[in-house]
Amino acid sequence: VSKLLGLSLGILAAIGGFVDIGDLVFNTAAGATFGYQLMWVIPIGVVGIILYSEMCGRVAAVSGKAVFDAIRERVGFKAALGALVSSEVVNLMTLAAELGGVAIALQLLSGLPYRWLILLTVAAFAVIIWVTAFEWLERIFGYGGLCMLVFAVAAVKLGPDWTQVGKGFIPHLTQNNPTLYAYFVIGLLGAALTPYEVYFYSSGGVEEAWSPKDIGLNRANAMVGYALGGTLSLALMIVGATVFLGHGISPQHLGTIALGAGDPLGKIGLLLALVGILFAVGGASIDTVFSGAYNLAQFCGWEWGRYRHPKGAPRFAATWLVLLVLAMGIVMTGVDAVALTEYAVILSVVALPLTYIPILLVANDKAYMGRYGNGRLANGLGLVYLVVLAVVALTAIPLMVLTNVGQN
Amino acid sequence: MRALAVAACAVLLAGCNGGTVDRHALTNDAASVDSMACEGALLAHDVAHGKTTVYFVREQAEALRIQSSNLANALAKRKALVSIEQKVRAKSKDAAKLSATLQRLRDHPSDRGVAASVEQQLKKLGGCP
Repeated sequence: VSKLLGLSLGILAAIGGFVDIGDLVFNTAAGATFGYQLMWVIPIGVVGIILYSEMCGRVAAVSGKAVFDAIRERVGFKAALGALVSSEVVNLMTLAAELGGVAIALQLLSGLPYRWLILLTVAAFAVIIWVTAFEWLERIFGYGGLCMLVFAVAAVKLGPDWTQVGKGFIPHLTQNNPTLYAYFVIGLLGAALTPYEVYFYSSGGVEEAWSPKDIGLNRANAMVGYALGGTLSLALMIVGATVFLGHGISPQHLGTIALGAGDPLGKIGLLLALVGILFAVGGASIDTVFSGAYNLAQFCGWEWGRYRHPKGAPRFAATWLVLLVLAMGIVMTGVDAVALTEYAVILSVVALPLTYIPILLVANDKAYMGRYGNGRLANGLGLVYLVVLAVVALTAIPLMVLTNVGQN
Repeated sequence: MRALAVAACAVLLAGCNGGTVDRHALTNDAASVDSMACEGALLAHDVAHGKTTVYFVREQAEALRIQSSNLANALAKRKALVSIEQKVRAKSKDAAKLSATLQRLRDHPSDRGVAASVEQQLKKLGGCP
C-alpha cells in the first residue's frame, strides 16, 4: 500500500511539475500560430523524456550515482567539462526566465511592482529551499502545479473540432511557412526535453536512495507521470489554437496564456490558471537551481544533496545560492521573461546531444549497469532519438536567426 | 569557444530589430499591432462580462500598453523605405491610438461600460475576427 501511495504521489507531482515556462510559451504560441498542426510533436517529446529519464533513474538506482557523476567517470574530463559548461549556461538562462515568470504570475495576482516581486521571490525561494525537506519541495510545487489542469478543462469547454485535433497528430503542413513551422517543431522538442529535467530526475533518485528494487517504481513514475503531464501540453496547444488563433492573437506575455483559461471559464478559471502557472514555474525554478548545483558539485566531486544539512555540503549550498543571485541579477535588468525563455529553450536544444549521448552510453554499459543495462528497445529508441536530436541541434540556431526568434 | 562565439553572434543577430523598415518588417509590425489590439479587445470583453480580476486587467493592459507605445515610437522614428514611409507612419499612429485605448482600460479595470467601448474600438483597430 505504501508503495502504491508513493507511486500515486510521485505521479501527481510529475503531472503538476511537467510544465515549465518553456512548455507554456512554446505550446501556446505553436497553437496560436499553426492551430493543431503541431500536436504530433508533443508525443515525440514526451516519449523522449520518458525514455531518457527512465535511463537516468535506472543508472541512479543501480550505481547510486547521478548522471553527471557517471558522465565524469565514463566519458572523461574534457567531454564532461563541455557538457557542464553548456548545461550551466542554459540552466542559468532558464532559471532567470522561470524567476521572471514567477514574479509575473505574482504581479498578475497581486498588482504589486514587478522588481519588488523578483526580490521577494528569490528571498522566499532561498528560505523555502533551506528549510524544506526535498520530498516536500517536490510535492508542494507538484501539487500546486496541478491547478494547471484548468487548461485541460478549458480545452474541453472550448469545444475544439476534435477531428482536426486528431489530424494534428499526423505530421503535415497546410500553411506556407515551413521555416517557422520547423522553428516551432524544434522549440517544442526543446521545451519537452530540457536537460535540467533529466539531471534533476537522476539526482533526485540518488537523494531518495533508490536501489535496484525501485527500478519498477522509477519506470512507472516516468511513464505515467510524464505521459499525463504531456496532456497538459496538448491542452495548452488546443487553448492556443482555439482562443488565440481564433481571435487573431499572437501571445507575447505570460498573462496572455492565463487569459486562455479565463475566457472560457471566467474568474475562477483565470485564478486557477495564474496559481497553476505560479506553482509550475516556481517548481521548475527549484528544479533548475538544484540541477545547476547538482551538476557542478558532481563534476567537482563535492559533497552534495538536499538530504544533507547545508553545513554538510557547504559548496553545494553556496552554489545554489549563487545561482539564485545570478539569475536574479539577469531578470532584474528588465529582460523580457518570455523572450529569455525562447532563447533558453533554443540554446538548450543545441546542448541536447551533449546531455543525452553520455546518458545512453552509461545506461548501455554492461560493466557499469550489469544486468540492468539497456535492452534492445531502449537502445534502438535511444539511438533514433540521438539522430533526431543531432539534426535538431544543428538546425536550431539557423532557424532562430531565419525566423527572428519565431517572429518570422 | 569558437562555436560559442558563433552562437552568441547568431543570437544577437536574431534579436536585432533595428535598421531601415522594409516591407517585411512593416508586415510584422502591423501584425503585432493587430495582435495586441485583438488581445486588448478580448481582455476588455472579459471585463465587460465580469470574467476577470482588477489586478489582472490592470497589469495585462499595462504590459500591452507599454509594448504598443514602444512600437509607436519606433515606427515614428525609424528610417523607412521611401515607398512605404507613409504606411509606416500611419501604423505608428495606429499603435499610439492602441496605446491610448489600452490606457483607458488600465485606468478603469472594473468599469464594464468603459470595457465594452474599449472592446469595440480595439476590434475595429485590429480588424479582429
